[in-house]
Amino acid sequence: MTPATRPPLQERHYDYVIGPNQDTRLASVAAGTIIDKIKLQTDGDAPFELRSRAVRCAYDASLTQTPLIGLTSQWTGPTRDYRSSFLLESLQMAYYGQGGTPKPIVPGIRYPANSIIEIDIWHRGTTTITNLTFYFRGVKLYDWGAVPGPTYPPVFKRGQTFSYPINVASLGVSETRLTNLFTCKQDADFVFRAGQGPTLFTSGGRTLGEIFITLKDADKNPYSNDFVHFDILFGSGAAPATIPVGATPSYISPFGTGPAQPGLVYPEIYIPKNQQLIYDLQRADGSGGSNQSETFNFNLIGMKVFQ
Amino acid sequence: MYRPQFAYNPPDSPCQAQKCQYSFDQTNLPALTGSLAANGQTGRIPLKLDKDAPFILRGIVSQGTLSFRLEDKDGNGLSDSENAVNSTNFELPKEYSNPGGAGLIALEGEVYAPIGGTIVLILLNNTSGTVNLNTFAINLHGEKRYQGEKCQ
Repeated sequence: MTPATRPPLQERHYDYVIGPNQDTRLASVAAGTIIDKIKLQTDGDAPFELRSRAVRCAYDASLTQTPLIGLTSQWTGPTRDYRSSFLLESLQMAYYGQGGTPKPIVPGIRYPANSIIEIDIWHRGTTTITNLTFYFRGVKLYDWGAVPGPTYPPVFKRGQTFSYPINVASLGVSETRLTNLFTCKQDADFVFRAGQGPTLFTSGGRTLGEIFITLKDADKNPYSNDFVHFDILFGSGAAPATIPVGATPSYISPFGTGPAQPGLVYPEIYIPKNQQLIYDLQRADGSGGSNQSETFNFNLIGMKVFQ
Repeated sequence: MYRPQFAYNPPDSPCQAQKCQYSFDQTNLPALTGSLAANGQTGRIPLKLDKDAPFILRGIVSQGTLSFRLEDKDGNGLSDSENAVNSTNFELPKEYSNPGGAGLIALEGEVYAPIGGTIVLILLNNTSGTVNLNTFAINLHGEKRYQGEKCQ
């Protein structure tokens, strides 16, 4: 087997979120609307290489994302160069890139630090889109050693498949819960490679749908510029949410997005034993209906490294 | 589609590998009879493996709503948060082992079991009602590794 070669720059997983927090016009996009020059400036600490995309909107009462039908977009590369004309997002990616199925961007597009990603949208559908959010996913590129990058020891006894189920207790309907700690057990390092999110539901007036997460390393350096919905970062098992498919769309539950296809984190995140991964949580279901605090699990999937 | 990030080399000669799939359900696992009350937990159920060759576990698929945890031959859990809330220390099938209609769930970092070895299964009913144990089934995917003889 050919030994792995070290890439010229240190890669670190990163998701850029462009949603209502970045441009308030995305909070409500009426049918027929054109919104241009939606801008996001990338961080100044490192270039960013775009490797995949996804898009979502807030769930409706039936836990569908029906309004995304007819959404078209065009977006720019690092020199404000458009990479396409307006394209239907529904024709670009399965499940809008959700549930562990982001749309690959190959070859990757490299944005220098402090670049502008610009998006124009033309909503050709018939229903107002609420909280339209684009996800530009990829890696930040650092000089080696510029950021902590713990990794495998030169020699280790064995790697063992392992997953950490994480319990979230009673997350309020509009709660933001910051600085939750996942501490790697002391027996072995853990390589976090994939995640599986909770099963969303709407039942008896209760809805668990709008839940978001931000991952941070032990130094609180985040892996995204804003909260990322579980549908995007992680896979989704037994998803009740329906996605429009087709020109006169049918509404289907995502098929095959269970644990066989978890959301992959690339590059993997290596967590030495006793060290921490920090995560912030946010829920935005609101107090409508019979909504209440909900308890759920999500899953960090990877491998233990015994030294 | 999710694939393991590391391919596996074939074994060195004279070892030979043979794809193998174990299935454990009510037909071959006596422990899967009766029912499990809400929040109930079974004891450690041994999944006995064949005596003709070691088994290397590389993937799983399960059926049913019961949460569970697997342990390797040395009693190491394949998932566990060691949380004070016991239910947190078991995996929900929909987040761990139910493929959602596609493929199987790869376990990256294979699990070795010796000839005639045992993998331990512990079930937990994390639902709000009683669940019949015969609704649970689990398949273990991997390969047997024969030594010094050709397997057909």
